Amino acid sequence: MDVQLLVTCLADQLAPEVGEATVRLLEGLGHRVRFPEAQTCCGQPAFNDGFPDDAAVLAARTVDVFAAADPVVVPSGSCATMVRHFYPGLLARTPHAEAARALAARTFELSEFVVRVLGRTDVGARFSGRVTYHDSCHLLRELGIRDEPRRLLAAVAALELVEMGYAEHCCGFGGAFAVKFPEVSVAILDAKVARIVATGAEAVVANDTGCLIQLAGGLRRHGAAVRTLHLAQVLAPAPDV
Amino acid sequence: MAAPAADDFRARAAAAAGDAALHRKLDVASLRFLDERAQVFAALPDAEARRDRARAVKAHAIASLATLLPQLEQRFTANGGVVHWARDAAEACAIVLDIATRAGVRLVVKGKSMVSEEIALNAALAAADIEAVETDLGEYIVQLAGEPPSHIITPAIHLSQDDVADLFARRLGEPRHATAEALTAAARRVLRTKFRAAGMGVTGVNFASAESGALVVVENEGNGRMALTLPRIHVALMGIEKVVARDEDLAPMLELLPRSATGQSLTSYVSLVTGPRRPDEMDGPDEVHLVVLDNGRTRLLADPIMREALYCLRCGACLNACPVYRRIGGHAYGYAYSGPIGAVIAPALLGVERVADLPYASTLCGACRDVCPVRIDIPHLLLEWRARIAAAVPRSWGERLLVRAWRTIAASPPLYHVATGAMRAAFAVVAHVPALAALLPPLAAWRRGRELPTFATRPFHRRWRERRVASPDGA
Amino acid sequence: MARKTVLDAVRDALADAVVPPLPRLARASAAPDRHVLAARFAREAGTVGTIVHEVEGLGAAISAVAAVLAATATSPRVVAWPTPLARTVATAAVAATPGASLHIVDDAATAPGRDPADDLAAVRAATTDVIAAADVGITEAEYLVADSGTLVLRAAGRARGVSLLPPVHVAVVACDRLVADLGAALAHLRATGARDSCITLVTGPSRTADIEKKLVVGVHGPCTLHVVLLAPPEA
Repeated sequence: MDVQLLVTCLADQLAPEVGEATVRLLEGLGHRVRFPEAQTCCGQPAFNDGFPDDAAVLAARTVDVFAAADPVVVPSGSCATMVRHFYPGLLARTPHAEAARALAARTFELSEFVVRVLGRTDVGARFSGRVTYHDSCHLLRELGIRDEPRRLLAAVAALELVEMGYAEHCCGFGGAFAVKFPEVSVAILDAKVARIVATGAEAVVANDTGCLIQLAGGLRRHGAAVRTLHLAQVLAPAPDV
Repeated sequence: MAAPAADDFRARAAAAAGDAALHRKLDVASLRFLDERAQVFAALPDAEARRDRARAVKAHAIASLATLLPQLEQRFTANGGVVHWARDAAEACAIVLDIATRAGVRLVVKGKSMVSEEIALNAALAAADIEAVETDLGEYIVQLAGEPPSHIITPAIHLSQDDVADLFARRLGEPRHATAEALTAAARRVLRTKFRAAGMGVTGVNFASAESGALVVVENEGNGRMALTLPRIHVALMGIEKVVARDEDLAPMLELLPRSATGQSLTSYVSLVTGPRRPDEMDGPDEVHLVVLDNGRTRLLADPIMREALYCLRCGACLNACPVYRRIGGHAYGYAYSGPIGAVIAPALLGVERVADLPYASTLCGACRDVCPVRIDIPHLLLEWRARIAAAVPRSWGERLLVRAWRTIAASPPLYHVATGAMRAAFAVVAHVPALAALLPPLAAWRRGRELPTFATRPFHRRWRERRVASPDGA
Repeated sequence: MARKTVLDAVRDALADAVVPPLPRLARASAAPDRHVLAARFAREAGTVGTIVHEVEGLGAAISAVAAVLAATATSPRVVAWPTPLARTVATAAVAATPGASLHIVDDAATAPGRDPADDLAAVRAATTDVIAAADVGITEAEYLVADSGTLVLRAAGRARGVSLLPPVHVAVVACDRLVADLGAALAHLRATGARDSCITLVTGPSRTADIEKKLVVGVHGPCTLHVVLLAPPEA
């Protein structure tokens, strides 16, 4: 089938390899990926900071950009949440109301799309090493996705999945929170880093670029030899050289 | 506590965030609370349906307060109790003081009551030279320490056993390095004499039934029973939101409150008080007073969105679940009600200008809503406060400018590419000359305890364009 | 004045509010078999530290209580409710325990031999002194709630202090007082038209975890709670 990729502004700028891995993964599973090039930011930062009207402007244009009927796949739990849970309310009394509801209904986070829509858990990936999985808050608590990423990871050849303590606890990112309350954000992060390090994993996997830059920032500051990887990077076939 | 310096929240939060000893103490209690809550809910059949029912009970009650409160008053009065109404903290304190003064009370024993903390009753009694003694062990500890409670359920969560042992050694002459058992026994000994000598007992109210006029007091230690049984006068303090319609509504609430609060199926004691001692009863108070307090609650009630904050059972589960609370503790919030629910109700009760930072002190992780027994959508209410603050509070203007700029940039792909290009350049410069981060406050804030992410030299947009050019048909 | 202001504010605040329907609350259908309830009660009460003695017949109940008395103190001072079962069991158990003394807490105000000139408050305080000095308090319970291992205590004609002040509380309860859940107990109580000033639910001994979440049993209330669950002798 044809799939539209909503890469997210954070991945676009900070982790384009996540977008590329997502494309390789979906193409490897036999689907055609479209990337609507007018896409920018879904409006979540403005929405979370208390500016719903500004968020609505970006929401409306994102609804237009993804007007095609194909499912939309997002390699981020929080941006998928924004489109799925908050667009319909944000645009409820606007000409975009119906289109927003329709977009919400065909938007999926990546692991959710692969497991629930495509019905795949073994995507034929191979990753040798021990990894631990961090539950991103919106993915877990807004979209209710706990098992899908773990099932995908468990099916990866040579991969050893070890659970950290309290994997479902927040990493302390929280968007603007990370810089509005930097000391608190870092204190939360330090607890998370300690739990990650305690697993002895060589990589921590998450499904949200926001969490991943927070985790990477903390792990590097502590000098921990733990890589941060998006799930797509573990699952995707190696790039053709 | 009635007039907290809640506006210093940022500074207090930053200081607490660096207090590793505090973090250890908070973790000891809050993580165990979380684990035990999870276990007891997993073992409860139809737990989710029970939460729905409890929420429905509260939704009905809050929407019916205009009839339930007069009904409660009528029943409680018919049972021989006296009902007093207080618009604010000062009125509530004056009522209690008046009852105490008329009866010549010199000593008041107190069961745990968050409303009492909210209205700063102890200070009001002290000003009138009336001794008020907290009798819940945790409350007693923080009273001895001269501190406010830092958790709705576990007031002394910020103190270790050694801290308490030192405190009891200093204040009560107990041996140092005492065990939790010995410290508890010391409190029992000291407070027994207080219970016997007190002329008045003050307690909170967890629920009240409009149908029978019963006040429900939930506790574990027996100090609540002492306070509402032994002194000649019992005064119960209650916010207007505590009343439910029927006696049978109490069962679903009692099922969830202890499970959420302490991971117990039921607390050791639940007292259903309907009035003063009847002629054929051999003990119990001669007078029972109920003080019904507004103190800003009708502002929440008048707000169709915020109204659900009044469903709160004060179980404290959202505090334990909150990553922010677990790093800064209750004192940082500067108010009797801390944590996520505190951040929702403080703006309504204290005025949003004074606590405008609180609604931002959340990662919106949603853990609070997941554990709330009545499913209060706390993240949604925090977002709502943020929107109102952004619209009304002048200091948000700088932020508004930034958001408006980003909105303009992101609304136009060419602008987006130019602006993100500039950001990449700025990050590249800072990466080479870290001192320059000081010029960009958000970057400086990020670098406190974290390494900066590196921007990709070629963003995804460009990679996709290059790929499209290389193979025009797509994959 | 304050009353009117608060109630007006409540009414104004709710002018637009739609009152959602009251939820239908689940009620236990047919009450389970007494043995099932007894087993559930014993299990739940046990998990919160209540010591449950399941006995058959009054004699066994008396022996169980006497054993508790003997284990509590060398010359245990006992107080008991004046209700028939508590009075009977307490009297016989104390008689069977060397050195034990018993004070049945009757209504001091109407107790025979009381000098009407006595200050009533002073008489009550003296009664509370006796209860507070006791080693063991013996009561009954109106209901036993199987689901939570809870005792439902009434206040009418009794002293609340007997279940609160002594370090050991013993409740002697016939097993026909078992109900499935708290909702059933509250409903039964309503149906009896009880007008007690206080109904007390007791689930285990007094406890706290206010210091580092460490469980300490025995704070202000009893340190030990025994329930003697009395089944009629099997035919």
